[in-house]
Amino acid sequence: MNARGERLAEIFSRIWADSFGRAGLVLLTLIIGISILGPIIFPFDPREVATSASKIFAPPTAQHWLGTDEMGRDIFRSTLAGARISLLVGITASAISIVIGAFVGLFSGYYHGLFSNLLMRVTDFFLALPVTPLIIVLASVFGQNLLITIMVIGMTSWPSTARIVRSLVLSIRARQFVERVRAIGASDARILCVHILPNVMPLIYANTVLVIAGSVLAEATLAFLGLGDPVRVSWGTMLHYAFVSGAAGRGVWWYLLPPGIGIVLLVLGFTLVGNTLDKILNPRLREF
Amino acid sequence: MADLMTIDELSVHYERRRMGGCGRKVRAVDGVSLSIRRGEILSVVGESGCGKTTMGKAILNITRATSGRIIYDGIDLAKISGAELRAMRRKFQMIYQDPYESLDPRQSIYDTLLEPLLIHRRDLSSVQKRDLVMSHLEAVGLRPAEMIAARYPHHLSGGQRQRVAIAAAIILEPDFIVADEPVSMLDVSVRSEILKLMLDLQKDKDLTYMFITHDLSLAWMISHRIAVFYLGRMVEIGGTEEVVHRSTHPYTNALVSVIPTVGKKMRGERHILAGETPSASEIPGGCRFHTRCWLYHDEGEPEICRNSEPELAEVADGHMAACHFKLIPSRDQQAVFDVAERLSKPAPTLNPLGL
Ligand SMILES: Nc1ncnc2c1ncn2[C@@H]1O[C@H](COP(=O)(O)OP(=O)(O)OP(=O)(O)O)[C@@H](O)[C@H]1O
Ligand code: SF4
Ligand SMILES: [Mg+2]
Repeated sequence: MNARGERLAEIFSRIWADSFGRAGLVLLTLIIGISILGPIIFPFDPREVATSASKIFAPPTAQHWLGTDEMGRDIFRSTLAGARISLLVGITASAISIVIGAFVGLFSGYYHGLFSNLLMRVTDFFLALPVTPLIIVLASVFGQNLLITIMVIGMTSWPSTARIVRSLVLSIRARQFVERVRAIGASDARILCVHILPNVMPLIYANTVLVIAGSVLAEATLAFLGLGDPVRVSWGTMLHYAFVSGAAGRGVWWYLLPPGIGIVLLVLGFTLVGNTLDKILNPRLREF
Repeated sequence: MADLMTIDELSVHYERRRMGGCGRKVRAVDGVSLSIRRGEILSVVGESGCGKTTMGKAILNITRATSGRIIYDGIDLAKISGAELRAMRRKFQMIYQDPYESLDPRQSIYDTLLEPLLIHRRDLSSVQKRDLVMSHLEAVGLRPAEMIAARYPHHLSGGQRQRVAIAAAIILEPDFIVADEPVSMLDVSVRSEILKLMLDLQKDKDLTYMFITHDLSLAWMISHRIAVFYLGRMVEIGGTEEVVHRSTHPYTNALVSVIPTVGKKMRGERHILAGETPSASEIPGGCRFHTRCWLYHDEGEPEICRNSEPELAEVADGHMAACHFKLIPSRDQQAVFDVAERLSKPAPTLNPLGL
């Protein structure tokens, strides 16, 4: 445990040493910090709507730091609350995606057989499909609910993970140390768990961070199109309401910018950290 | 000495698929029969690509043989179940050429040595396993064992890694070890240490080695018997002194003639092999060596060499060679031919009795 802690600390310090990685870490720390602490310090109550017309689309004031929306709700507070939802969806959807992707990749890379080929066909099929329209179709079929959003994103974004895990497994499987332990009498389960998985983990770690970036973006897209959960408002949902209520036409920039910038910074943060992590953990992949 | 392992007509063919279609068959090992005696060091010698590694792996059931039988200690390895084979694997081990590739980079040295025990020695307590790991690290000269055990392969030098690989191979107390060019990737300075270690272990633990090498002079130094391979076939086998000093196959003879200390003593010319080794996917018909055989040339390119593949035939006790024209073994290695073989030929160019 201690050694693992040390290794984690070392990885953090190496991300920090990279200027892109450092920028990403700062962004993520900031946004995650905000999403945890923000709603506690500045709780958001969606039922707290305007009582007078002057409170609708009101520009930033001392009372409402980022102005108000079409219902007169405080945009600063709803932005803080939205960060939580965006992050939550991004992380949980990625967890689903990574678990499926890693399993499919490990299995289809290690075993050769009917089932394994079938898995690879399914992966290729999903990879060839345009994912965004697919997600939109699925989300509109299954309804607007946070859990549905998470499932839909998680179930559609695993193929790229499966593919890269598979190709790494194929190359590790062919290495001599795998042959040597097989010659000693190691079972397939042992080879997979003890020798292949640990050698694939670094790739999975780096990939996870990158997949979160993609999931955050996918959630924003869905929500922006009005397929988000209307109760648990994410940044994408905020953007959706901003457009639907005509905020853009009226020049209500304080409604559009906070969630918009939030999404960009969040995606950027995960991408920067993910790429740096990939560079550190999988140095050989850098050349390609 | 009793036979530990008998290989009967072993072949390993690969289907090498070309882009776009028709596969070519690579005959990496092509009908090899051979017995390995308990307690001996049998060297397998031959040029790169002649199928030495493939044969070693096929014998240990790492590579699937296309045909042939492998009988280990009376048990036909093809006839036992997968689980039985896995259980038997502790009896035979392989040491690989490249110690940088044969150890898992994410496994500590301790775990690397522990792994065989976890698989086969569930009967031992964890303290006993630990003691075994430590004592084997010391046995291969990795001291202090405690310190080395905590390291990872990338902390160690090539020679140290090869010692780890050796320790991992002997920790289950196997009978038989295939060592595939175990020193060829190492610094010249550590080669002799590793060889000495392997030879010491062989004596101490009563091991049988199949020692694969492309270096005939190395084989000559360490082995009891030598088997010479050419393009997937065994062309000569016999006791070390027999093969080196009374080589009977023109290929062996050419290999011997370039060993400095032996070659010098040979009165005849040195036989430098002409041309490239043909590819294992395009093995010449007849005697597969005829495209490069100096004797075939000297003999005036006889038809028989092109048309029929010579079988191994005994030339002396336990010494066999596969050539239509037996070189009568003589100390000075002059090319002298079997009279009977040559009856149908024009007047001999050499003194038939060689005396
Ligand atoms: N997996 C494989 N698929 C196809 N061909 C193979 C495979 N493994 C080996 N070969 C071919 O089989 C032949 C024998 O190879 P092998 O590695 O056994 O030779 P070797 O005597 O060990 O050579 P070296 O001294 O270079 O190690 C070669 O022509 C090689 O290209
Ligand atoms: S059979 Fe002919 S070609 Fe083959 S080794 Fe003997 S002399 Fe050479
Ligand atoms: Mg080899």
